[in-house]
Amino acid sequence: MTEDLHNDIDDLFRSGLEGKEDTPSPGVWSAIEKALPPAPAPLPPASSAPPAVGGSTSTIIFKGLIGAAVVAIIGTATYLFSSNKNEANTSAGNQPTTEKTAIKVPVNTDPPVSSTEHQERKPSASDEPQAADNEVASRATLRPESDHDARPSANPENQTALKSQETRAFTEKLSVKSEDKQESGRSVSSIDITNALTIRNSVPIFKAAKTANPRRGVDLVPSKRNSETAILQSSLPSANNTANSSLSEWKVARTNALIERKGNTLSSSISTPTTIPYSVIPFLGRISSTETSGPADKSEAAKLKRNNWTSRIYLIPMVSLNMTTMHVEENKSFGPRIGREHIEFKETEQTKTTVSPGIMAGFAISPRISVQTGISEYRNNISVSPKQIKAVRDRDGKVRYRMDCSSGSYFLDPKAGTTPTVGDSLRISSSEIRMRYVTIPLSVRVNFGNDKVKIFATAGTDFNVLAGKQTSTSLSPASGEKVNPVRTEGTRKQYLNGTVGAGIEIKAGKRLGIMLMPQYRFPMGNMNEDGPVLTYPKTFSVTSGVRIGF
Amino acid sequence: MQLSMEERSTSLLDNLELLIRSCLAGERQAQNRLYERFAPKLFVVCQRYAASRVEAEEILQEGFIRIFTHLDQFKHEGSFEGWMRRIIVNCALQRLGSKARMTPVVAMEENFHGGAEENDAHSRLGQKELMQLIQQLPPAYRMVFNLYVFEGMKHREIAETLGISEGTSKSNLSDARAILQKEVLKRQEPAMPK
Repeated sequence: MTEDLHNDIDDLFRSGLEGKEDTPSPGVWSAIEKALPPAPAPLPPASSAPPAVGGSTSTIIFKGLIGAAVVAIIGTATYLFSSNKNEANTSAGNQPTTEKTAIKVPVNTDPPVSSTEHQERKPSASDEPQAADNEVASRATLRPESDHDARPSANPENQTALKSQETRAFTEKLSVKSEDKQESGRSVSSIDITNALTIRNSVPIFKAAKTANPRRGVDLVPSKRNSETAILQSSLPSANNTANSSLSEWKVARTNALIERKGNTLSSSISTPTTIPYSVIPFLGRISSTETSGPADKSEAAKLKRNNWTSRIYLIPMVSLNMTTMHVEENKSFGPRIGREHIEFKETEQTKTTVSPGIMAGFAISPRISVQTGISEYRNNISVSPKQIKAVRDRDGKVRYRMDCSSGSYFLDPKAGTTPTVGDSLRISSSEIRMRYVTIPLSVRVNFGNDKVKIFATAGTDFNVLAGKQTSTSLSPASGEKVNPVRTEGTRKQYLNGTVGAGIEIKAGKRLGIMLMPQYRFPMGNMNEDGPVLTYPKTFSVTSGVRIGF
Repeated sequence: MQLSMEERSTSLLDNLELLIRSCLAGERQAQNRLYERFAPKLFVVCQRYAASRVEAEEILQEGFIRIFTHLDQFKHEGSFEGWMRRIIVNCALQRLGSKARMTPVVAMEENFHGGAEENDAHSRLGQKELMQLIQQLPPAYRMVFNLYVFEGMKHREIAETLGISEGTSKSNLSDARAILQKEVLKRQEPAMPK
C-alpha cells in the first residue's frame, strides 16, 4: 500500500515534469554570452564547417612542445653544423683545384705605400708552410699584390714572425689591420685577413699580396697549390679618404665571399648587399673557416677523430622493463560522480610490470649532443580486484553493467541472468585490462666521459598512441563467466608524457656499444577523459640496448 | 555554393553535429542556436533542483557556460542532450550541496508556506504546481527526490553522489514523498466531495 502510494507520487511528478519545457528569461543568454570567450570572425560556409578546433589542453601542450623541440633542434643543428662543416670537409679529401680567384679590395686612401713598407709587417708567401701534412691548417693571407713580387725573402724578422704563426695549429683569425701612416705625404692602408678559411693543406688560399691601391684596389690570386678556391671581394667606401681615417669607422660597402671547393662539397657564399661594419668580419670568417687540428696538436686531432665517430647516425634496438603506477585524481569537471573513485581505484587496481621492445635512431650533432627518436611499444597491464559494478544507461541509452576503472569505463553485457535495469549491481571476481601503446619518443641526449665508457643523460617526450586494448572480466565464481566489454568509454587514444633518464654506454666494438638506462616517464596529460577521475601513469623503466653506429 | 544566412541557420538547427562543430569553432550564432534549442528542457531540470526560478536561471547559466567550455570533450558517441543534462545536474548538485548541509531539514508545515492558495485537484496539478511543490522541499530532500525519481539512481548511488549514508538517502526520500503526498492531498481536498 505504502509502496503504491510512493509510486503514485513518483509517477505524478515524473509524468508532470519529465520532458517539459519552460523558457528562461532572456537575461540568461546575455550573461552566458558575456562569460564566453569573444566570438571569432564571421561564419564560414556551412558546407565547409571547420572540424572541432581547440582540442584539449594536452593537445595544445603537445603541439607547443613539438614546435619548440623542432625549433631548438634546427637551431642547434644549424649552429653546430656551421661550426663543424669545414671540419668535416677537411677530412673528406683533398682535390686541388685551379679555379680562378680574384680578390679586389679597393681602398680609398691615398696612393699606395711602397712594397718595402708593407714587407715590414707581412711575411712572404714563400715562407708559408708547405703542404706536407694533410691535417695541417692553413692560413689565408690577403696582402697587397705587389708583395707577391717584392716579398722580402731574406728578412729575418719576417721569417721569425711567420714561423711563430705557423706553429699555431689553430689560427682562425680574421684581422683587419690598418696602419695609417703618413710618409712623404702619402697615407698607407693595408688589409690583412689571416686564415679566412682553412684547408687541409697548409697552403695559403691567397698567396698574393698587394699594397692597397685606392684606384685599382687589391687583386689577389690564389696559390697554385691551393686546394680551395676563394673569391673575396671587398670594397671600402670612399667616404673616408683622409690619411687619418680610423679603421673602426670604416665600413665594408659590399662584401661577397665565395668559397668553393669542387669535388669536396665545400661551398659557402656570403653576400651582404648592405653596409657591413668591420665587427661582422670575424663572424664571416667563422662561417667560412673552421678550427682544425694540425699534427702538432694531438688533443685536437683526437677531438677530430672523435667527432668523426660521433657524427654518425646510430640505431639502438632495445628492451625496456616498465614499472607503472597510476596517479588518479578526481575529475572536478565531470558530471555526477561518486567523489571517491580515485580512492577506490587506488585500492582495487594493481599495475603489473611489463616488458616492451623498441628501436631508437639517433643523430649525433656534436660529440656530446644527440637527438634521438624512434618507435617502441609500451604495455600497461592492470589487474582489478573484486568489486561491485552497477547497471547504468550508456550513452546510447542501453542499460548495461558499467565497470569504472582508472583507465576508463567498460560496459559489460553478461549472457547469464536477466537483462539488468538501472541500479542493479553485480560483483566481479577479477578483471584484467591490457593496454598496448605505440610510443614515439623524441629526446635529446648529452654524453659525458670518454669514447669507451660514456655516461649520458636524456630528456624528451613520448607521444603514446593507443594501439590495442584487451579486457577480460570474470564474474562471480558461481557463474564462472568471463565477459569482454561491449563498449568502452573514457580512454584517450593518445597521451603525452615526458622522459628523463641517465645511463651508461660501453663501447663494445668499432660500431657497437652496450647501453643501460634507467628512465622515468612522467605524465604530461591524462590518459583518460570524460570520467569521474583523471589518470596519470607514472613509469619507471630500465632500458637496455645495443648501439649500432653507421 | 554558399548558403544564405537563413538557410544556414536552418541547416544548423537540423544538423546537431554541425551545430556542435560550429559551437566548437566559437561561433556565437551557433552557440545561441544550441542554447535556444536545449535551454527550455534543461531549464525545467534546473528548476527541479533550485528553490526558485531565479536560482534555476543561475544554475542554467553556469551549466551552459560549462557546456560550451567543455564541448570538445563530447565524443559524439551518445546522447548529446544526456551529456548536457549530466553537466546541468552536476552544477545543481554542487550548488545545492553546501546549501543542503547548511539548511536544516524542517518540518513540512514550517517550510511549506507558499502555494497553499493553489487548491487544484490532484488530476489538475499542472507543471507549475508540481514544480512549486518540489522547490519548496528542503534542499537535501529535493536532491534525493530528484536523483531517485528523475535520474533513476539507486540509494547507494545517491549516497555516494551526495556523500551521505544509504540510510539517510532512504530517509530523505521517504520524508520528501510524505511531504509531497500530504501537499498533493491537501490540494485535492477542495475538489473532493465531502
